[in-house]
Amino acid sequence: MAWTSRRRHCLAIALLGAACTLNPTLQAQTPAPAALTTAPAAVVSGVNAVTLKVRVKGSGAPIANAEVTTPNRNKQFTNKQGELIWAIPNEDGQIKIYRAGQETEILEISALRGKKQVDIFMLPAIAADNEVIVRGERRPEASRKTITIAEAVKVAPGGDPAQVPKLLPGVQSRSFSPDIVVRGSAPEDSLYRVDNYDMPFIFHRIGNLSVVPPQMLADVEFSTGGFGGQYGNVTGGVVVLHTRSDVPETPKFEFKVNIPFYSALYYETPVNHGKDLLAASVRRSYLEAFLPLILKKNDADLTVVPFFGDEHLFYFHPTDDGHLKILATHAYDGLHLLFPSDAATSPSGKAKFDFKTSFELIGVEWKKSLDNNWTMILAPNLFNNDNSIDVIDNTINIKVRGVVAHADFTRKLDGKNRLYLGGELGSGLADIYVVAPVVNNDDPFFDPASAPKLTVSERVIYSSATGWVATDRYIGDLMFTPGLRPFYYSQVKKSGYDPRLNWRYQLSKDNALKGAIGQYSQTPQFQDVDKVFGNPNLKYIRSTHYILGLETAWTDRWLSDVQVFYKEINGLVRSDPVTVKNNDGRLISSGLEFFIRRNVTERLFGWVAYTYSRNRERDKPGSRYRNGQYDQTNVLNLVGNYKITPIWDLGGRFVYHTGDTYTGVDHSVYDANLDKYQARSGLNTQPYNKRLPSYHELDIYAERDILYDTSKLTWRMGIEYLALQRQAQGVQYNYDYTKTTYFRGIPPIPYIELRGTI
Amino acid sequence: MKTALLPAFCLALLTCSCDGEKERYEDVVKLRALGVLSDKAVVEPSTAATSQSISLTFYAAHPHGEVITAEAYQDSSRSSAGVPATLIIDPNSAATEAHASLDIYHVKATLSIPPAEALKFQGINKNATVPYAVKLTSRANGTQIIVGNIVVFAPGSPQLATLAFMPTVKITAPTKAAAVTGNQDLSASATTTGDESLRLGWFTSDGEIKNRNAAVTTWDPKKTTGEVTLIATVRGAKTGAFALDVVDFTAN
Repeated sequence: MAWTSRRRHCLAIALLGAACTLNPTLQAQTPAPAALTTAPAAVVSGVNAVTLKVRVKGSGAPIANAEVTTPNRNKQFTNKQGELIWAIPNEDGQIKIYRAGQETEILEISALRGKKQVDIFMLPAIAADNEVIVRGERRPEASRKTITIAEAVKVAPGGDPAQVPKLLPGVQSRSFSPDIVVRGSAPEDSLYRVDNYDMPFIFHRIGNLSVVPPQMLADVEFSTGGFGGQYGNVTGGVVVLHTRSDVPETPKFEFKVNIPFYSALYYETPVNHGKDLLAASVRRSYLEAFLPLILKKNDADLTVVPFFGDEHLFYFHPTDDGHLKILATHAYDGLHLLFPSDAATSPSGKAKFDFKTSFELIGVEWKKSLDNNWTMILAPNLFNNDNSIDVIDNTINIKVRGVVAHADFTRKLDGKNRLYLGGELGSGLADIYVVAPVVNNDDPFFDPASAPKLTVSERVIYSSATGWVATDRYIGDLMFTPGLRPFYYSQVKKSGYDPRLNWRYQLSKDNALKGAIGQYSQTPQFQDVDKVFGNPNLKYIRSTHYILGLETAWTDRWLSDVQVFYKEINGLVRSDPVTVKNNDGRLISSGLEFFIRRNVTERLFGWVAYTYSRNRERDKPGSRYRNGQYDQTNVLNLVGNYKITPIWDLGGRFVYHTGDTYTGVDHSVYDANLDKYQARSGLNTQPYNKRLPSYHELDIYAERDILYDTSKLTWRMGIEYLALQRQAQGVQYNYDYTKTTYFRGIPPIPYIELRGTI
Repeated sequence: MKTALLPAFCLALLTCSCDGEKERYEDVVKLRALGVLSDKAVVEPSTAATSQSISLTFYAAHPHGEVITAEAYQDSSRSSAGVPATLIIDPNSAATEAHASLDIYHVKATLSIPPAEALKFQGINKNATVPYAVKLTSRANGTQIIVGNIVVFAPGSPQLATLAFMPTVKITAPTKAAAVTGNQDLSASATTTGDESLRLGWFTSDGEIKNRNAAVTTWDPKKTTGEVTLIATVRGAKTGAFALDVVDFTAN
């Protein structure tokens, strides 16, 4: 090669034909876009020309509007395909190729002679860190935060965007569980959605991984309370994973190898002449092949066969006045476990625990701007959800299939005022077969083996109808959004309505006072209203949220959000000796949250989230309040990611929280029917009267990209569960509960992960 | 990633042990309950207003030389307790069987079964349960609270016939007074003619049993030499009907 380049290694020259004759009279092309649409490798006006094809190193994506500066300082620009047909002058010299965000490339003109096409792959530049990346703007709500997928995949546990709420204020979580407790509400009391679709389950229970691959997502929206009428039937928080709304310019293939756990394949491509996006993803575990070998090597008298997987198909079609999205999902989990147990009734002395769960969902979202300032979103979906659990001699088989029709209408009123109308109709069919005891969730030492087994075999048709109306109103610097959510759920056979109000007052350019108050109703769990396992006369669980906050933008990069909250939940379901279940429980959660965020730029992002909260419960009117089941008084999360060079990232997260509550054992008894010891609490002992030691954990990682011309490998190396000592994860007892020790977590574990993008 | 940690976590669980001394369920190093033998596997309650009684024998094992006393106990914190019943212990029935490396204590009691009209028959088996509880105290080595249920079926229930059988258990290996070296295969034959599966449990005075609920398993002497007492217990999964067998052998 005769030409030189400041970064020669990153340029590739393709020899695509015979040498051309140079024309000394050639004049540089003008930057007029029309001149750049010439077909590749054409000859310009009878003179010798070369097609410069400028692309991003690592992906091969074309770089439009790259600036090509000739020795005589003429500037020309690449077209949308990253191409520029350039007439080669007789004089030697250098041309400079510049594009913001990429490293400048310099080519010797002599090296271009005789070529029809030259591929130039530009390296990403070291970011200047002067550009704040703006997240998608949505209606402001007091306790809503939005995290981009780019941020979430870097710092979230497991690189799983759906788990990023674990790192935000108002949330309690535990290691080895993706579940979150939002302002004292149990994990099942929060809503998980993908776009407008409720998901039967969002996490693989085996894989500790969400069921939606991050490549199909745009951002994660998370609200810890005070949310608008568009969301309902929960008293906790709302996590919405928003799918992408962009079309890539080139196809992309990604793979991920995680030994010995699972592998993932992902492919996306522009279709319909580059107007639409089609993406497909497959993930499958192979832990079931490795784990038995590990257990056998350790002479463990266990059979453990866990598996999970998912497949997705996503189609995005933007239109002039909206878009069409189609999402098809199939996700499944399972576990076959055979273990030595006192509960065994077979000669092998082993008991089984088998479960399988799967769901399929197909949803269509059609967004369209209508006349008269109306915008419409229609999002129907069909789903099927199969669950089977077979534990010793208990069986639970539940098959649910249904349809949900979701509609959202927004009307622009005068100024910034808006009107929101929406509704959702749902109907389904559940086939239920259960042979199991009624579980007493209020007895922390409840032993299902001691309780009588009941059975139910039935087909249940259920339905729901919800609506919402809200309006954004501006009066000076005050914006307020009153709303109402009427609803009807056939489980409770009653209708109701939830009034809600969000407001925001702009104290100054950088300070906003905000708040929310509202009622949030939730149906009891299906089993709690079953005529055999529950009480069909249960009422709605009702919660009231009160939120007051101050949001400050200190600079364009730094912002803080301070909130105080108070939440009551009335009508919590409790066990009842007469009616099986009742609505007598009550929970009060109150606290203070700090969130200091360094907005994402090209180089750095991160946040500090601190929550102080108290969660107190009582089981019936008149009884004393006690610690809640979920009551981590102090929760601190520090999260950060720094891009040292264009190919190196460093980051990590630090978690500290007060220890979880648990119920202390007073004494134990030997159950002669079962040949096992059972724990008992004292007669005057309140549940959750004890607390584990406080918990801390540091997770750090480094990520390095290895760039090839049109592909990229990413190595991610890190250590998880760094701590001053092994942290207490729970309590464990000896066989007769006379000795108590803490179950301490696993030691720090280094890991390596490889991802590839082609 | 974190997901990759699951195998390691499973391994940690498997290899994890409690702080301090490792304890095993089957070791009889202190007073240990073994089971409760009733004179009937299932009970048909009286249709008259009066109660009827059944006889219960409470079994426990303990190291040599301990003195055990028994008293009725009220397990009031039990959330799944059935209808309260009266238990009367016969202190004169208390006896101790001496075996090579431990003693087996047993004491009789009488449990009154309420009449049918006072019972709540429920569940897939349409049965009621009558709970009992006894507290055994060793002057030297702690207490054991033994709880359980007598299964009662409504008059005329078919289970009164199909479940009215006491199980049996027989240790087939090792044989009585056998001398063993190293690991010893254990096997027990548990049988019943009743319509229920059986739950088997081993106890030993020394050494370790690989799977104490398996009919065929292995006894590991660890550092044990000398006489060893082995106990096999069995109980019905539906009725709780109980039986036991004891074998003494010598570990070389």
